[in-house]
Amino acid sequence: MERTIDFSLAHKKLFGILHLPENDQPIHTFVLMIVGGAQTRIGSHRMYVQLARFLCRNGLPVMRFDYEGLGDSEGDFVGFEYAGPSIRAAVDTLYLSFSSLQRVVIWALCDGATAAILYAPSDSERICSLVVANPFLESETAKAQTILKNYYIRRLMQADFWRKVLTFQFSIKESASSLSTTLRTSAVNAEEEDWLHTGKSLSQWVLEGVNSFAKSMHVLISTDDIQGMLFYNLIRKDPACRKSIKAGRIKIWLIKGGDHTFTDPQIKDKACKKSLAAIVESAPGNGEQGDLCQMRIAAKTSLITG
Amino acid sequence: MAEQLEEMFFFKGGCVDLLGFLHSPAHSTRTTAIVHCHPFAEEKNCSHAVTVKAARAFARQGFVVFRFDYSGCGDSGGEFSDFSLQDWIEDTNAAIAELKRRTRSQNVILWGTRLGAALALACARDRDDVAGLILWQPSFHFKDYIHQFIRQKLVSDFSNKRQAVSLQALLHKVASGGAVQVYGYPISTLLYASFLAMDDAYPHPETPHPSYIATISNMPSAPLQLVRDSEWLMQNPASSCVHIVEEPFWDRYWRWDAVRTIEKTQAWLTKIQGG
Amino acid sequence: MDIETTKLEIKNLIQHTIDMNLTPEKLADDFKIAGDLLDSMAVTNLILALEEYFGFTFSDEELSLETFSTFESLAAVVHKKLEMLNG
Repeated sequence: MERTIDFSLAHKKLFGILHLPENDQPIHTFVLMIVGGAQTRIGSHRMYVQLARFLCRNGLPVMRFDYEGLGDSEGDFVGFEYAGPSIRAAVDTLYLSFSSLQRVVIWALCDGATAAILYAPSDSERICSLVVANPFLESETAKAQTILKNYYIRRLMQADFWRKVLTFQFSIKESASSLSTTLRTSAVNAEEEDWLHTGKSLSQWVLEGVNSFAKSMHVLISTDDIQGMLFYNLIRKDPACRKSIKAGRIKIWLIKGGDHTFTDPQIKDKACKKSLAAIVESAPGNGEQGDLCQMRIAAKTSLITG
Repeated sequence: MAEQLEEMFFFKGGCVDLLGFLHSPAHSTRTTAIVHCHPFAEEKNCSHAVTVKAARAFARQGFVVFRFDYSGCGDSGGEFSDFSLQDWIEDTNAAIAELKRRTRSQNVILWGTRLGAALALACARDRDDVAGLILWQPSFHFKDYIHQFIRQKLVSDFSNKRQAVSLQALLHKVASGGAVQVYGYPISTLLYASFLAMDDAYPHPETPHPSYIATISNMPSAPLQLVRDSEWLMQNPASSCVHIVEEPFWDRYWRWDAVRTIEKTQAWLTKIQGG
Repeated sequence: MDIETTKLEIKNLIQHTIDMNLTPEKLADDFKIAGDLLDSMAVTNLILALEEYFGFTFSDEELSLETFSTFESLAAVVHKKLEMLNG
C-alpha cells in the first residue's frame, strides 16, 4: 500500500510517500530514502519509486520524501549541506507514526548519500545502517572532472564555473590521460577547499562521518561513475576506513558498468537486489537484542518529551 | 505560507491510483481552477521546481491549482511502459473530476508544459468546461516529439562512446514489439503507437480556447515553426503568443525559478479572469 | 558564409542553449564537445538548436562522435550541409 504523508520542519511542510507491505506484521525497521542533486522523491528515471516498490514487495516499509526546498516540500532550495534537519524531522515522524518502530536504515544516492553520512553519527541510536550509492564529494579535482561529464547532474552556479572547467579541460588534454586513467588515479587531495568555512574540506567531514558512525555501512559504487569511484578511492586509502572494511563494518559493492543513477535497466535491477541484500543483512527481523531495544526506547522518549 | 493550503493524496485515475497535489487559496471566490499537465519522462523531473513555484504563484492569485502524475509517472501507480497517451488523457479527465469533487470549481484552465501542453489541447477538445489553456513551450506534434525523444538514445550512446544504433533501427525495434530505453525510460510499442495515432486523432476545433502560448529560451526570438503552429490558436481574441527570454527549465536540472515566465503568465490570467 | 563564421555561430548557439556564461571566446576550436565539454543531454539540446537555427536536419550518419568531436569537425559538417541547402 502506498500512502502520502506530510510533516513539519519549523513551520515548513515537507511531503513524502510511505510504502507499506501488505501484511499484518508490526513494523520494526523502516527504510528512509534521501534524494540527491536537484531531484525529487521520484528520482532520475523513477529510480526511487522503483526501488521503494521493490523493497516493499520484499516486506520492507519505505519512506521517500522531499527535503526542505526540494520537490513539493516548502522552502527555498537549501542543498545537501543543510538537509540534516529535514532528515531528523523525517525520522521523528516515522517514530511517532509507527509505535513498534525500532530502527531506520537510510538509503541514499549522490549528495543525498553525502548528507546521510554527515547526519548519521548524530542519530546513531535510531539509524542502524546506511546504504549509500555513489556519494558526492567536492574536491577541486573531483569537481572539474565530474562537471565535465555530468554538467546536468551537479551544476555550480558561481561566476567562474566555466573558467575552472575549461582550464581543467586544458590540463587533461595536455597530460593526454584517458578517462579510465583519470578514474584509476583520481584521489582527493589534501589541499582542498575549506567547506562552508568549517576549517575542513567536505572529504574530511565525510571521512569523519564514515568513521564515527559505528554501525554498518554498505557502499554501492558504479564503476562508470566518476563520483562513485572518487568516493571509493577516498575510503580505500583512509587507514581507519580500511580497518572498518577489513572488520566487515563497511561493505563495498561494485556495480560493474553502472552509471551515476543506474540508468540501464539490468544495472538498476542489480542495484535494487544489492540494496535489498544490504538492508536485510544490516537490519535483522524481530530477533533484536534487549540492550539495543532499550536504547531505542530511550531515544523515542526523549523525542516525545523534547 | 499560511495563505494557501497544500494537500497531497492519491485518487482513482483512468487505470490506476494517481498522485494529486492540490493548492487551495485561503480566500477566493474564483470558480475557475487550473489543472497542470506535466511533460514527458525526465522533463517532468527537470521542470518540477518551476512548476511548483508557478502553482504557488497562481494560488496566490486566488486560483485553486491541481497538479497530478499520469499513470506510470511520478508517484502514480504502474510502470511507465504500461500506458498510452490515451490513458493519460483519461487521467486528465479523472483529475478534473477529482478536483470538482473536492472544490467548488466549475471551469478549468489546462496548463501544460511541452508534451503536457499537447495533451492539454487534446483533452480540451472534448470538454465543455475549459476556460483557457496555458501552453509553455508546447510540443504540438506527437510523432515528431517521440522521434526526437528516441533520437536522444543515439546521442547518448555516441556521447558516452558506445556503439550507436541508427534511429531507423530504433524505430523499427519499438514499432515491432521491443522497448527502447532512453535515459532509463522504456518506450514500449504501446506507448510509441499511441504517439503515432495522436496527430490525426485530434483535429483543431473550430473555435480555439483562449490560449497563452509561451516560448522560452535565451535566444532573442521564438522558434519560427512553433509560432506558425500556434497561429490557429490566435484566432481567439483573448489568446496571446509571446517569446520569453529566459533559461529553459525542462531540459536541464538546477532550475529553481522562471520569474519572467511565471509573471507574464500571471498577467495573462488576470487579463482573462480578472484581478 | 565562411567556415570561421559558422564556427562562431555554433559557439553562439552553445552559449544561448547551454549556459549564458559560456561565451564564444572561452571555447577553443579543438575542445572535445561530445562527452567532455557537454554531456549527452546538452549535446541533444545543441543538436536541436542547430537544426532549428540553420533549418536543416542531421542524418543518422551525421549524428556521431566524429561530427561532435571538436568545433572544427562540427563546423565542417554544418558548413557542408548549408552549402547543399543553398545549392
